[in-house]
Amino acid sequence: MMSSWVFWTERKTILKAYIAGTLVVLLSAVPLWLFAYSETGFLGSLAVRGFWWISCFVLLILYFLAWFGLPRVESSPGASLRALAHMMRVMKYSVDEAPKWIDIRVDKLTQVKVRARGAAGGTRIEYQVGATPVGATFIVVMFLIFPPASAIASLFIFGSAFRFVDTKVAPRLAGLPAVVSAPMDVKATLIDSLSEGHRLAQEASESVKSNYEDLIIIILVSGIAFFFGGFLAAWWLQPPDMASSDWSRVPVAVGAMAMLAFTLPSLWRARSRHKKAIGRFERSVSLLGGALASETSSLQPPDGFPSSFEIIAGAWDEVPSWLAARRRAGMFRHPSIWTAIVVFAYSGFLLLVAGIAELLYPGIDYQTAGVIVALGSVMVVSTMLLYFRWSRDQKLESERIVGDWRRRVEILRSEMEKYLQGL
Amino acid sequence: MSASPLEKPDLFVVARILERLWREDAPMLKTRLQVATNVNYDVFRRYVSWMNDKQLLLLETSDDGHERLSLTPRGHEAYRHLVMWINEVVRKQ
Repeated sequence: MMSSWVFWTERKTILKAYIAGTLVVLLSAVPLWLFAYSETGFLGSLAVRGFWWISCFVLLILYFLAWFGLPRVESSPGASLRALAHMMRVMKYSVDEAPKWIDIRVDKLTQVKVRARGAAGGTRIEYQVGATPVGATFIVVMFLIFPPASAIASLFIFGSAFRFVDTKVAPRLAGLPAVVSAPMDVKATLIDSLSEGHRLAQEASESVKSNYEDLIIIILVSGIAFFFGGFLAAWWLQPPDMASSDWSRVPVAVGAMAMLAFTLPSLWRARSRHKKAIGRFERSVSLLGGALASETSSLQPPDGFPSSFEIIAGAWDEVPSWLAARRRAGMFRHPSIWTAIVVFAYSGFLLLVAGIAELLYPGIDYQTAGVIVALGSVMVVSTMLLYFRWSRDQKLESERIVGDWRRRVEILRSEMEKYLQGL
Repeated sequence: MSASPLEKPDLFVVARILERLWREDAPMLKTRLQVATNVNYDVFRRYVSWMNDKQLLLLETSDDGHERLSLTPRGHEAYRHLVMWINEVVRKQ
């Protein structure tokens, strides 16, 4: 892991350097692109793409792996992180807390990882710019399709993180406690619990929405595949007269019918399946968010409003479904495996279409076409195997987590009841 | 008429009453607490009686004849205990 190599006093210089570096990469690609297409055709365009991929990959590493220093504090590393996490929660930021670091979610695309390490004269606080699962998915997809767009998106995320640290984190470091704090008080604990519940519910809600969007994309892409399937089948069964001006009418009509017959019922089914879950998760987010807002303000909750304790404890029953939803979110939570699945599926599909198209033309090299179709089939089968394996692993892990959670909650409830009885 | 004794208190109702009193700086009118916690009056009386027996809250009758409730140190401790417990669960998911 890289250590902090940028001091707080130089933060503005480094931000300018990042912006300049990104602009240089993007602008240098333009003349290269013009030259390549005008002079060297396909090989030139390949060179431009290679340049984009390599330069943008280097930029992504610089954006997301570097650690930046913040002013030192006097408190111990553990106490600093804990206090900072609480301050961020009071400001209604979602915080994921681990013993050695905290992840603060800045906005839908951006998050910041903060770590604290003991050093001479206090604790050194450092941060790293990161992307949320949505942001990471967006960057990976952009990187595959059009690398410069991923560099621009990363610069945007980088700027948001920088601004956030500058205005929200750094000014509060001076207020961190100098010694390890005593057990947190009731209000602070309620805020932490509500914030953590809110974070889980929000992530689950976004996961379900993301799953729904992924499913829509898969249905639409499959719809296109059905169109080509119908088109090729019609062509195969009744080769059209290519001399005729409307030779494509029948294959296109058959393809369109196949596409609609698959797409419309699938979209309707996906919508009805996800709408209920999305609504339920959004209600939880809103309830926990409302309680958190009330707890962080000095206002009394309105009469009859459930207590914060009840809202948190009531959320226990929902937590298994939140955890399961987070685990099920494919592209959203596991960009690497899903990148492999998308690349395999896309390449396999292209090879199959190209191979079948070759086979349809008489007098073509059947051996080459056969190899292309076989290769495409292998890739499609690999995609399916990858997906089924991932799906099985997710299901097993989800069942284990949910089982553990339910057992723990049952034990806790009975302990609490025993405690009340024994008072 | 005294309320019938409570055999097994509901965790959520106890926590709701404790939390509402915990938020108050001064003793709270009994009827006001009942409205704020949104608990049926008969049930509320039984819980107040039970919590009073357990020394979780203090029931006082003021000069104007109104009953007022406040949290005892034991009540504060009980509520803190419950909150720490749920926090443990939430954070260990």
